[in-house]
Amino acid sequence: MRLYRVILVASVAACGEPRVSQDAPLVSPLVRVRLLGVAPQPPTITIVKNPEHCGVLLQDPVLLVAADNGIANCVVSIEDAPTETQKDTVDVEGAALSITASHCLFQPRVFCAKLGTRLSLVNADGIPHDPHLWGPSGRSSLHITLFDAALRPSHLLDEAGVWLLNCDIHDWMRAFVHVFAHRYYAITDESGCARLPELPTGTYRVRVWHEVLGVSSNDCLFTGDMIDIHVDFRDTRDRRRLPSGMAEWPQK
Amino acid sequence: MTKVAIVARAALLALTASVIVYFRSGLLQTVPAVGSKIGGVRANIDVASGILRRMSPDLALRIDALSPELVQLGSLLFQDARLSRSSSISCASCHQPSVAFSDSRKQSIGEKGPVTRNAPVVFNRGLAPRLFWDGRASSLKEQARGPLLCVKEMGFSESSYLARVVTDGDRDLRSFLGASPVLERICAALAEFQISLVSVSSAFDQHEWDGASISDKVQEGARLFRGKAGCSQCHTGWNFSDEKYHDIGLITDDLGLAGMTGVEHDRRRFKTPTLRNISRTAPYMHDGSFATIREVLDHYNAGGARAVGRSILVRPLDLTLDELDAMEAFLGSLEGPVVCVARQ
Repeated sequence: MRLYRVILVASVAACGEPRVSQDAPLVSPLVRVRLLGVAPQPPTITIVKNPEHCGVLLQDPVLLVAADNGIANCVVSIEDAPTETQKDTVDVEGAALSITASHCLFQPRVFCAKLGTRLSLVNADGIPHDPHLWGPSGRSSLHITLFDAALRPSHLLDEAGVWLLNCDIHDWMRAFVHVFAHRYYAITDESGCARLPELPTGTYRVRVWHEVLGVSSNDCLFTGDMIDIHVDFRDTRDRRRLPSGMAEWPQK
Repeated sequence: MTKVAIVARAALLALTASVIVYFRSGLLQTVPAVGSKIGGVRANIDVASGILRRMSPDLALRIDALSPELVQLGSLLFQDARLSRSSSISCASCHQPSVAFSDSRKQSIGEKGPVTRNAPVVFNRGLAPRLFWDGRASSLKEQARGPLLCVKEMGFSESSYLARVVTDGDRDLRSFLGASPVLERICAALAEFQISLVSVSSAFDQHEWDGASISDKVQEGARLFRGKAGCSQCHTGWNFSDEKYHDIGLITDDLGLAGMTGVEHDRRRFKTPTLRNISRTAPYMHDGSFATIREVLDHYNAGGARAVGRSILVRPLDLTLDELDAMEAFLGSLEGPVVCVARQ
């Protein structure tokens, strides 16, 4: 219910036949996600709740584009990951991830985790936050008001998919945790690059997710060279469901 | 059998039937005796228990630790009018199960007439840090003493109560109460019972926690509640209350929290009530001054009726009529059964 299932317009370099061969050498692919054309100026979020702490205006943090058009916070994953290596990363009880409410934003905003990771929440602001965690099926999983840093609730991420965390008080505060049952995923850094774990040379179905730009899936040939995935700008979010104070990104 | 005896018997049967009907439509329907096997109620308890364990694991653990016998006794004492001076007022007189344990009067009627404030609901209180509109009680046991001992409300007298229990031949209760003083044990049982009362399975809860469908209008109202209207700044968390005190710009002479703290800044500040079952708990506010939910919404939409001293969280909202309708629909979706989920 909170996922924006819209297909991106994407062009992919180095994609096509053949698929994976049995004796193929291993590569650790580097994927770079880049925006086509000029990045739009980010809109501002108008703050009416706790402006004394959060400020009156906040720069929209959802689309971060580098000078060479690399896009940060894209989740890159292999849809047809080698099955024989999936089991060793499933049910890894003990892995932990922490998301902190700081300066009226959740940090990190986008994150990846293995299935079985325990997510804990921290409020580092001096004002109450009301984190509400939604599982991949769109159902509530955790909802607890954090008045200060003393209370640190946690929740086991026991289902693969995208978990959404939002603050029910400051509705622009959101975080997305992508939970995988395999290890072939990575998140793009500030330059738009993400390095995937080692896998045999071959063609794989690569999925790219971004909070604003949506989702794309493309076949890509991994030979060891960097793969460029180009993304056209389009705000795919349902504008009726945008948090109050948040504006659509300007279309090109 | 004589004609008089037949009439008397018929009357007795009718009275018995009416009592059963009363309880089924009132208290027992909503607050089943622990171990109740009534189908509909059992189903409500199961749904509520399932959601509660995910929604508030801490409260579920707290309830698991309750003594079933004490809860059962507390439920009986809650309905026991002999606790009042005139034997006419029980806890349930002002916290009526038929209206989600609230009172449909602006001010409840005590032994000396109307009391000062509107009766708050008594469910989902198991983890409450403070009780009463002004937070003057720090535990449910302490809270229970308040109305019992207040001469304007119930005017409890230990000797009178024990005499009534003995006269009525209520041996089990007399045995539980033990030696004097008995007030502590009564309050303990009432507290256990109140801890066991939860309401967590409204249509909105079942939508958010179990994926049940709900109308677009309710969803729009929820978005406004958490977004533009900013209600969730105080009505926060799973129980829709921050358990804190706010001056929401009402015209009132009531000192509120300041009556307890003596601090001028606390004047007219009252504890945020839950919004669960709000559609059943009119009238609203500490003084019952608003008769309808729409009046409450209009008050907030205008930014309150008074500016000086008012919380900065209360501000004009500029909600349209459609938006107010959606918010009213959302608030209505918070209606759900109040059940006793204690261990059996």
